[in-house]
Amino acid sequence: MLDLHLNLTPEKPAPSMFTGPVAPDENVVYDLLVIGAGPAGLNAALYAKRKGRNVAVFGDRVGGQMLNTSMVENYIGTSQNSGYELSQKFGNDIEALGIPILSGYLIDGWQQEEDDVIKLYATNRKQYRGKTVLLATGSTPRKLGIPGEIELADRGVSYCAICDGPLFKQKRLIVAGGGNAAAEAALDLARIGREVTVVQRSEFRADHILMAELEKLDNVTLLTQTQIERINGEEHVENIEVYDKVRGERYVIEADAVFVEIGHDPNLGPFKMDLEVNDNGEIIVDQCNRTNIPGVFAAGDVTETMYKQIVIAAADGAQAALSINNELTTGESRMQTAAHKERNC
Amino acid sequence: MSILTDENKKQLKEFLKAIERDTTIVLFNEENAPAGNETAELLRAMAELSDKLHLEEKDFATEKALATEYGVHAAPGYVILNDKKEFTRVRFIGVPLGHEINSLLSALVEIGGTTDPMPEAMLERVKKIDKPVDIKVFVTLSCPHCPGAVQKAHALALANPNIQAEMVEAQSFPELSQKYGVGSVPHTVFNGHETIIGNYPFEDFIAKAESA
Repeated sequence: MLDLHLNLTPEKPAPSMFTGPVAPDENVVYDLLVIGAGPAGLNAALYAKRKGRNVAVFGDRVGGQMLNTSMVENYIGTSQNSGYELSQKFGNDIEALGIPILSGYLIDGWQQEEDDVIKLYATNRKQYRGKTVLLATGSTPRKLGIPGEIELADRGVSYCAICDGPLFKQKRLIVAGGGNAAAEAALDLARIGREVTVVQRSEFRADHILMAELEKLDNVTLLTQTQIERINGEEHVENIEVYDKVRGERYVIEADAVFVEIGHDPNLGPFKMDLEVNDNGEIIVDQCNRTNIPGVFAAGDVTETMYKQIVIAAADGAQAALSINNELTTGESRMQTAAHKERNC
Repeated sequence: MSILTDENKKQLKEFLKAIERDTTIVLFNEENAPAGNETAELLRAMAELSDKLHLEEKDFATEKALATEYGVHAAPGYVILNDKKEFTRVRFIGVPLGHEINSLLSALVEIGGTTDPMPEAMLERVKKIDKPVDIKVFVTLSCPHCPGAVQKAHALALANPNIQAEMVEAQSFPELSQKYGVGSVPHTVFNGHETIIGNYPFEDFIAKAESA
């Protein structure tokens, strides 16, 4: 039987891929160009616009990583929203304010112009100018970095459980990871697969409420202190080799698919060579969200914020927008970059 | 029992107002087709909600010639005809529920409504493609990235008579999915050999159609 839970979620009218929000104008020098359309970027745009700033957003996908979450249950006041629905609501708020969004394209270059204007190059071959730039580019799923992972990508190795889960009905599924994303993926997959094994190299750190749900399920096995060392298969994933660190044993788990949920790597894009980052590749910012590049700010998962959560990213975006507004108002601190660790925004 | 709630109907009705010209869905169905009943029920409900949207139901087993003409190779399969009753080369195989309702609604509005045109430079490239291109976009109903890929494939088909494009609901058609090695969605196949896995910019889709 097909799973026919009706999840009818029409997008706003006029859904042409060439229609949608107003596109940014090449001939305008914006106060702020926001790169990224996840919670950090969209909330920054909202805050900046409400301060009277001329702002434009550049985002491949409105909602960002929220789109890969089935239910968002930890954003207060909005329980029972799917990640998709919450993404739509965020996007609607931005559109209602008339903020232009360029979606479907990436920013692949930047240049500091004279008069403190930063120019962005987009993959639609257009250029956009702003007095400030906010990097809210988020992150992409981290890979396990083990043999078989790349070879079997899209042939049983997946980084989107809600997308690819339905392809593995009644199969044996592995979830790699131990945080909230892994636990949520396992809960989703337990409804689809025959058996789900969650493999975590250390201890689980997912919310207690999620772990309690998982422990109730008969078809879910939880393994801690267990490292996945290799994914095997000819045409498709057939099994994984794991190492039990406590017993010092290696063994094989038969599996049809491996869902990797072990965290994310920051997206630095064309700014990569110029930004100061920490050991994890995350952008170092000061308390005003300034990076080491004058006029360039960063917020959300792309920065070294400790916890990668929707509400934290959104709040960080708001803070960045307020700092940017202040900097544009006072016209100072242009040279005070992250290196100075200024406390005053 | 209706698969649509009153709230669903209200939303759909509002959405379907964007269809300004007569637009026809031709559905090929058969008994025991995966989610065949649900597909028929949904399409009937949609046609009832709009004066401009029409539904023609055909038997897949007995109307093979017409199905073949429209490239429908499995049931439930359906295509969209424009106001001149011409085949638009836009095709769907499988139920359009979950996120895929958006793929269907987008195609209907693209064909029967007024939308922003494709940018001139892109249109020129697409129009230059002078060999037949068949595009299959494998999706799941819970995949939020999939309608974007389906929309792009359909936009290519609408812009060039040499191109046909279809959505395939992967879970209902496991053999077809296996044949094309579908393990992640959206999985788009051009002429059976060129592949894009993911919802990438439209220019990537044009490039694959050119090289397929």
